Amino acid sequence: MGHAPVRWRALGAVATGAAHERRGAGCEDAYGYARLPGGLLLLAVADGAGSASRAAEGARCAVTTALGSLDHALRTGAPPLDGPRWRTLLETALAAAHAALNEVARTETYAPDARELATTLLLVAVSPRCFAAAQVGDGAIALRVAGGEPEIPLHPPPTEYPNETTFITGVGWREDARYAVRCDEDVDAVALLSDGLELLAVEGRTREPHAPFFRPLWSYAARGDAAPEELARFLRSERVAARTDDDRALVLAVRERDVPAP
Amino acid sequence: MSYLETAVEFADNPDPRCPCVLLLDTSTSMRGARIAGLNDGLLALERDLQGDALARRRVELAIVTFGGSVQVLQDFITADQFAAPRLNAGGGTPMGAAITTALDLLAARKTAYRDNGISYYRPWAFLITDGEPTGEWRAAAERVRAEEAGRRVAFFAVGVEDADMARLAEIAVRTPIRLRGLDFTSLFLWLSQSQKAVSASQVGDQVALPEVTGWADV
Repeated sequence: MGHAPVRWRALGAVATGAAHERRGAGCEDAYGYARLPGGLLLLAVADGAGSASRAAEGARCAVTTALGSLDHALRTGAPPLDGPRWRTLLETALAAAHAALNEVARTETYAPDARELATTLLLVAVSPRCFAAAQVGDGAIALRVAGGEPEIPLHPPPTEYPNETTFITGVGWREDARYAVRCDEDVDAVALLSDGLELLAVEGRTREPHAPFFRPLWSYAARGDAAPEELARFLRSERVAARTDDDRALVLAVRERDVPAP
Repeated sequence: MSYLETAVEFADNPDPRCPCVLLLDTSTSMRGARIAGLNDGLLALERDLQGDALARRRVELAIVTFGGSVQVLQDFITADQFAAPRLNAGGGTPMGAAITTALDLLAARKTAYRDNGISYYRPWAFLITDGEPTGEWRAAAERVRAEEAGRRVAFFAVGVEDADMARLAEIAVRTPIRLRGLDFTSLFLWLSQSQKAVSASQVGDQVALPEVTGWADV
């Protein structure tokens, strides 16, 4: 593998759904990512509940808090090398988001119920050795190993209706959370998407990723001139809007292969 | 178009469906202005749904009338093929039997969806009546309660003018709504908007609906 440092290209975007615009709500999806020293990459997507009055705030708070928790843990200690330790790190980050949202609700007199900040939360951390993911609620996380086909390593518990999901604000988030850790595999691309894109990116019957959705996106993300505005334009495009009126968030990351030695 | 707009291919998934059964009182008391208003409202519903590209494909409507007898006037049909009927009124009000028929229709539709790998949102039943039920209704009320408790349906009841709101409150779990005058058009536009909003994710039992104003008497 050599000693060249691992680096990732990442970009993300959101688009407001027509259904949200109709009721005067802004975009209630949020995303974030961070690159840490040592070739570490953190990614997050959150989808605020349509029925929650402060969904956008909830989604942003969830992303910021969870990434902050992971960032802190990975700067103060070496990245884990096994599944159980990664899971602990991720669970701590989820717990931090849950606590932060409930605290916001508790201290706000006009919205005492955390359900008004209800949001899903998808989290990914990638180190040179491992890929670790956690998910509460709908949406999808996809990875690519050694330039191969996309894979979806975890699925939320199935629900009868597509507009019913679990939220990180709920008391049952620990039972609802799903985790996946893959170590010593050549993970070279990652994608996180909110459920507004699921119809387009995931085969409904098999729950497998639709490869022709991910391949061009990862190709684009690997380009030196890849721009988040271009990704945003794609998410707002007629082709996408014709299939979904929900908000959509998409974060892409591709590992740089030809990193010149310093 | 940009690279992404041309290069990214989408999975070929069927549209998720929003099934909605309309339970319409066509008893004698509905004759005249009431049934005329109802017919106008149905036309407004048809037009509003067909003006929305997604709603046209996702919303499915069925109509069960009760006036003398119970009739499945329209089995589930996608909004883009829905043609508003012109209803006539006459007969008693077999509301209980109509409710049972409508809930059976919904259950059968869900089975058809599942058999064909089609996802669906929580179905709606929308009861509109100007009177009180003739004949047995308690079994139907119990069925509504069970379906709501199992989150298998969202059942809404709307009372028109002389409607027995107290009886409706015994039948529906959700608080019945009284129509303002005969403004069926606003009611059905609200229903259409609600169907379009249904894809938004829910917290618990909440149904993220547009505000019930303008067509309801609080």
